Amino acid sequence: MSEEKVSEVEYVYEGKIRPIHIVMTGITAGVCAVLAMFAIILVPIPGIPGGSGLWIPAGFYFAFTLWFGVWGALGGHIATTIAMGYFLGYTLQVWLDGGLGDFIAPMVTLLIFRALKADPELKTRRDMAIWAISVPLSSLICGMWVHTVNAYFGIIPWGYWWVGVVSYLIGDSIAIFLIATPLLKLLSKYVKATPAYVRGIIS
Amino acid sequence: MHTRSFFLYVPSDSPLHRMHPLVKFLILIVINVFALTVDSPIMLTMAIILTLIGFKVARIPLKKMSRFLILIFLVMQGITVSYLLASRIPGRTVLYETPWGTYATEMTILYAFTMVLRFFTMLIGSTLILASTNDRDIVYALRSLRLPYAASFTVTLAFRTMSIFLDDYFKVRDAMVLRGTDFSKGSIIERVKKYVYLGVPLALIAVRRIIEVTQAVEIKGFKLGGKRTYYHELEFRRVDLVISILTLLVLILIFFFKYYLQCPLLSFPGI
Repeated sequence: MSEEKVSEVEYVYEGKIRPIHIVMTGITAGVCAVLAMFAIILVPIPGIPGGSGLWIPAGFYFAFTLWFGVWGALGGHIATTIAMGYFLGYTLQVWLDGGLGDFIAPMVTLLIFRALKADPELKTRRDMAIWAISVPLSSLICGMWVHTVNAYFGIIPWGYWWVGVVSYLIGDSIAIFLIATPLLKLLSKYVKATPAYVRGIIS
Repeated sequence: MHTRSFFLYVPSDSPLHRMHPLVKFLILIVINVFALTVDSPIMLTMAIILTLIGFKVARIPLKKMSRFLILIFLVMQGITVSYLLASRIPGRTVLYETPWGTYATEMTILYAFTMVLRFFTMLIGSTLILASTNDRDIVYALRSLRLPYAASFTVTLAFRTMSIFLDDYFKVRDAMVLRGTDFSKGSIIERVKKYVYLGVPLALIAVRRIIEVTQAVEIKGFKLGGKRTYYHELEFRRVDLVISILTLLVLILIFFFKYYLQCPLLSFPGI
């Protein structure tokens, strides 16, 4: 490609962060927010504030995070804050609990995948094994965060903490395995061929 | 003109509506921090009463809260049950002991009620602020914080995508129904599988939309940095500055009284 400056447009692409990354975050946030509202309405858990028995958006933002890096995780974060806040009010507790938790969870899986150079297409047994281990580990870390926040805000007593963590681990892992696994297996190859795919964490 | 808003906005011309969105966000944060810091049922009740008066001053109908009623009930039930089963709050009378070593006293019930009040304070405080702030002002508030334009653009794009994605969902679902898929029949596993198959084209549409929207913003010369001009400019008035200072002062006083002076009025009785 010629280095001669032809037009101003060529210099839009300088730097690691590009407009496509911002667009990814916005669109994944919009998609996951709607799915999160469906999840809260269709499969609520009585007594668990803003909780859902099948956190459908988790499957999507885990897949989006493995395809789009931190931008997919940010989308999940914004989506959960919007959706939980819609039902529970836009409070500090909702943001710290659901919003940040749903940023931490996919980021743990992303970091494991990138560190171990696993392929999101999940073609080999090694990739499947990394997926099978990273998802419950992410859900466990996220569950611990979420219920620590809930206990700190007094929503649950500390004695209930481990109950919340275990139920979060099981529920979240099931949703992610059910939804994200077919998305990754079927669409990763297509996404990797598009300019949207992020090979690293940020770009 | 109908003002469409995702965040419960109620158009009005009250002092709260005229406030700069940044000041409103500061008040929102202070309400939440107050509710988190104070665990006195009396102070939390007073905060709720003051917030309800705020609804009246801002001319926002209380029926805006009706959306939250069912979930508030579920949250109250959840908080109460979890404290009754999994806490050890000492009191004068032990009502019962559980086999796993926790117990409930009259103070357990009061504490659970206090936590419900805390949750309710945060909820109605946030609702009051957001009912007086439209979506555009939320984006402008982000900009006032000197966050990069990309942050406010992301939030705006998320709102727009939500309604578009809902249309996509119904289109794909109807297409599958026309091809013979019945989402209401089959075992729970079969129904979950059908919804998972629904997710694949939706994810594909999302990826394609990312590429299309990126091409559109790049053609329009979207840049991540650089100086921008805006159609709407919100002025930070002297009254906004005074309210901001007073709000911060309230926060400082709460911390001072609670943690330095250890004022019992701000703490749970007996602690």
